[in-house]
Amino acid sequence: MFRAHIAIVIYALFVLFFAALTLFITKRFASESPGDPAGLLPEEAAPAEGEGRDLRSTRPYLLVLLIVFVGVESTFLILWARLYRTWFDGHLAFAFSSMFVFAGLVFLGHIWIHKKGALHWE
Amino acid sequence: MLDSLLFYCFAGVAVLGAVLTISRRNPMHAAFFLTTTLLATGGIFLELRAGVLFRTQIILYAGGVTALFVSVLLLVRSGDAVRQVRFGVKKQMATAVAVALGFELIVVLFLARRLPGGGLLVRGSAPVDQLPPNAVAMATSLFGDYLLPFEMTSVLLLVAMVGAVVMAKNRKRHERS
Repeated sequence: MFRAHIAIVIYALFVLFFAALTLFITKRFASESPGDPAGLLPEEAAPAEGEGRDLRSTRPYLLVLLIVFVGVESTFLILWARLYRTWFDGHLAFAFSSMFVFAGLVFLGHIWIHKKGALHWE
Repeated sequence: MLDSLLFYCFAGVAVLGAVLTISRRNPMHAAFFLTTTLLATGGIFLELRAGVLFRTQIILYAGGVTALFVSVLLLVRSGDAVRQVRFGVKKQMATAVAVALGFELIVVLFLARRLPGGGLLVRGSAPVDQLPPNAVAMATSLFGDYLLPFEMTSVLLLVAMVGAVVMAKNRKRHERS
C-alpha cells in the first residue's frame, strides 16, 4: 500500500517543505507592511515624494506571459498525444489536422512576436 | 488511512496558504503563499490520480501564473498600490459579500443532502487507485464533442499574444515620451 503512495508522500513532503520555507522567508527577510519603506526590498520600495524612478522594462512580463501560453499549448498537446495512438486505425488525417490547425495558429502568433522583437533581451 | 492523512495534509496546507494569501499586506508574500496553495491543491489532484489536472496545476498555475504575478508585482510599485487601495473603508462591503457567500454555502450544503449520494461526502465510493485513468476520457471528449471550442482556443491564444505585445509596446512608448 505504501509503495503505491510513495510518489504522493514525496510530493507531500515537498509541499510541506515549501510551505515552511515560505513562512520562514516571509518572516525573516522582508517587512510585512508595505507602508514601511525601511523593511522593503529595493524593488518593492516606493520612491519618495517628488523623486522620480526609472520605469521598469516590460520584457520580463512579456516573456513570462509567453511561458504561460506555452504551458497552455503543452497541456493540450499532452492530451492529444494520449489519444494519438488510438487514431491510427483510419483517422490519422483527422488526428493530425485537429492539432495542426491549433498549433499552426499559435505558431503564427509566436512568429509575429519574434518579428516584433518582443523576445529580444536587451 | 494513508489516503486520508495525505488528503488532510494537502487540504490543511491549501487552506492555510489561502488564508495567508488574503491576509498578508505585502503582495509579494501573498504571491508566495498563493504558490503554496496551488502546490497543495495539485497534491489533491495527484492523490485522486487526476494526472492531467495535476500537470496543468503545476505547469500553468504554480509555474506560469505565479511567475506572471511576481513579474507584475515587480513591474508595479507595491507601495503605490497599497496607498491607493484602502480596505478599511470597504469593510461594510466586505462583510456583505462574506454574509452572501456564507448564505450560499449553507444553501449548497442543504441542497446537497438531496443528491443520490446522500450529500457532498459520498460514503462507500471506489478507492482512487481503482479508478480508470481520466486522461484518455478527457482527450476523447476534447477532440470529439468539443473540437470546435478547442480549435477556437488557438484563436483566443493568438489574440491574447498579440494583445500582450501591443499593450507592452504602448507602455514602453508611453514611458519614453
